[in-house]
Amino acid sequence: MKNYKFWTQRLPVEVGRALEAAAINANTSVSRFVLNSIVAALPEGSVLKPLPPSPPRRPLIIPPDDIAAISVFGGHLGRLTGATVQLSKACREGGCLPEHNALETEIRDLRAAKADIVALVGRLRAVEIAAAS
Amino acid sequence: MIAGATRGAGGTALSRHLLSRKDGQKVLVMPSRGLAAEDLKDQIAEIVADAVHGRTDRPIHHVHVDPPPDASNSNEIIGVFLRHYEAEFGLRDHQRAGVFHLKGGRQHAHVVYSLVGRNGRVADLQHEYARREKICRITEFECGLRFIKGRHNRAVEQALRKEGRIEIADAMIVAGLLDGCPGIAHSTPRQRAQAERTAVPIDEIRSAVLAAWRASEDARSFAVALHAFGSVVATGRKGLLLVDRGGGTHSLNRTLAAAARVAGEDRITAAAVRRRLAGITFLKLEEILNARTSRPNTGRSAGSQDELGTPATSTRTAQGGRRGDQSARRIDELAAADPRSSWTSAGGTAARRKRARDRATAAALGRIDLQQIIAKGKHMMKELKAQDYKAKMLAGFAPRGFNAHAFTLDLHMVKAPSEYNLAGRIMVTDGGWVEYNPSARSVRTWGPSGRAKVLAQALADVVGCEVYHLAKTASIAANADALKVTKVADDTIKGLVAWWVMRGFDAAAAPDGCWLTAGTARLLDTGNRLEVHGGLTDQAVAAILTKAKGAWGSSLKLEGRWTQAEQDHLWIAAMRAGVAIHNCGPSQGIQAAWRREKDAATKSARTISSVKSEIIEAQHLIDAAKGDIEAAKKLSGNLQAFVGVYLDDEQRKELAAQPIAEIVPHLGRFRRIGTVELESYEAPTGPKVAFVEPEKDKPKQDAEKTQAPK
Repeated sequence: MKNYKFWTQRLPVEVGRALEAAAINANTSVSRFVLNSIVAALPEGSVLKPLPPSPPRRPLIIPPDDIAAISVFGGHLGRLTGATVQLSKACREGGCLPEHNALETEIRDLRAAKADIVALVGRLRAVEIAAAS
Repeated sequence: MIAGATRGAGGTALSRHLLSRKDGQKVLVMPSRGLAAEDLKDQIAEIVADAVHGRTDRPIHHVHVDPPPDASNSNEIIGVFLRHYEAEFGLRDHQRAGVFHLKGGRQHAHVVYSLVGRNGRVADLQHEYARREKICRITEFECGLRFIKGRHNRAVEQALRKEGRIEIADAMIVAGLLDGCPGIAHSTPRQRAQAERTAVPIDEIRSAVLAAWRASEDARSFAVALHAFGSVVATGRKGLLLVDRGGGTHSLNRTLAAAARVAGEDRITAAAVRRRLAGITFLKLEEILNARTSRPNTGRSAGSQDELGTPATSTRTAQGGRRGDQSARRIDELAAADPRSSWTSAGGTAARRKRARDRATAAALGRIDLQQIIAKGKHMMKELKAQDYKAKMLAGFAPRGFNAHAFTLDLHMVKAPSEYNLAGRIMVTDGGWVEYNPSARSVRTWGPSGRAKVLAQALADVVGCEVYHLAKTASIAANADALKVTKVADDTIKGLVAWWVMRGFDAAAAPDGCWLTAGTARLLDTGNRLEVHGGLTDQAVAAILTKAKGAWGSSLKLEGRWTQAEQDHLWIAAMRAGVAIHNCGPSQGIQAAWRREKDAATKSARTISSVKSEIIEAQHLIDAAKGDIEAAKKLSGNLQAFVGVYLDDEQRKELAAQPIAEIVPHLGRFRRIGTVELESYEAPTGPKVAFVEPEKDKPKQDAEKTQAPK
């Protein structure tokens, strides 16, 4: 074995399941459990240098349902605003000025609503972060 | 074209950067997609708020697209790139905002995407770097831009083939993107920003650290040599750092590796650095920076033991040094705190602190071999000054916008253009040559194509031309023994240069031999061998034959692969020059041409000879007409009869006054007349001699004959 840093081992399925169960019991990963077991079984295991800890994994982000719903709504609102802008532009270019004026009023309202949504999401997230910490 | 991307949480720094008008940059906000806000700052905040339902805390993907500065259709290039990019990463329906930047006449775009889709799914950015490079190659191909070598060329080529874009994959191969090392940027954005902040160029740091590495043998000498440049080594969080004189930090391993790469030297690996710097404990980065900020009056540190690093083995000395410093510092503090002390005045405290520092410095310097440091420093500074001088020379005739100092470590010899030679020449450290002609705006290379290729390409990019490489085409040897390739001694090379210069050739010495210019070709002379680079021109043939006639005993032998045309060209020239040529197979046509040429030459020689004899005879005829008996004797019998018998005195006088050119055409007629006259004169009496010896000479000759037996 020339590469001492990495090797593969074919195992029976039963052994693999047993390893997985033992790793779960020991509250560690399978590879860490196997490594610890091998090191413990070696004669010079006690003097071997321990491996450095693994880098911390990025935490899983699962947003609360209410914030997620508001966020999805905000996305729809943004797309609706964009579509309304295009419609208003087409009306102006098509000579439908009354409709254009009405749509411009709608756009202003939509933008104001969207700004409120963004602010609301920001406040809710701040509360969530404060609660988590 | 170049593109980059970063992922983030969407803080205010991004919008600040995108809306920055620093250095006269013009900003144009591009139409957004799926967003309600009107300004960019609110748009980014909106993207962040709308992405909360996705399972990520970094929903912002910032992409910048940089078309080539000379591109006339920047908007189209940016559009093509974004279309392919969105298709590649599934961002077509995602919210988008962005800006166009125009700075220094160069337009580029920044686009901010939401990575979270409508259904909350986060776009997959796996292998984003390589996939982005693929999009760049596609855009370059579709917009007719020059291919730029990336970091993942093979992966991109394989991915393009899998996707059926075979024409782009083939074009990449043709462009040579898969040859050699992958493209490596000169510096990172962080390094550039740091250099701008500290005013310490990254090239200068690399040159210094490489010079220190070369000049050192162990950790201590390395630290000492580095200290001469105002830099120190520190221990960082992940490894060793280099702290430059401006306080900027650099990874020591990466700086050394980059410097060695730029210099074309062997790789300096992290393991090599670890080995050399083993056994010494360097100060932590925070300690060094704190020490610098606490001593604002000193531009450079005093070179104390602590700054250079404390050897792990000499614990007692190290502790002693620290203790000394601590005690000095403690005294200072006590003095400053004691209101009764006579040194509490500002001037007294400062003087005392200065004395304490001087003592600590003297103690530290006592343990350092100053002579050694000075000698090494001088040596390194001399080396750097020489390199700087060459870089300045290169910058003197290089095109505007070319950074000659980036190639400081590559320059071995620089020859600026002169009134006799309009092209400037650069010889790089690995033996390659670059020729830049400012008037013709052309760049040529020959010899080893290592750093020369890089330098030439950099010049060509600025000039806007293609690099023309004079490849080795053939070689000629004096004899079979010359095939052994041996290193040529410096004295031999100098002798070769002198030999060629004496014969009117432009020759230059190089480590691998003597290079001489022969028209557009370059010849490498190593004594018994000539290499032709850049094709067999007439000047190259002349040089080869000069060498063969002057140094190889009028013979030469062809080596390597020669085309039939080249063999014919050299063979006939050698035949004309009288040089024997071996291992050469001239074509039948050129041999026939040579035979015709030879026959024509023989005929011409014969004609010239006959004309010469006619002229001589005409001269004798004129002389005979003037009464010269000796000249008349040299005439043939019929001409003797013509001038002696046929012509009367008046006619002879008239003949003597004629020029030779008038007589030569009539010689045939004179001979015929003379023959008739001779026949009519000799018919009754037999053969006569028109001009005989004078009677008075006869007895003398008879007497000589009679005396001869005695």
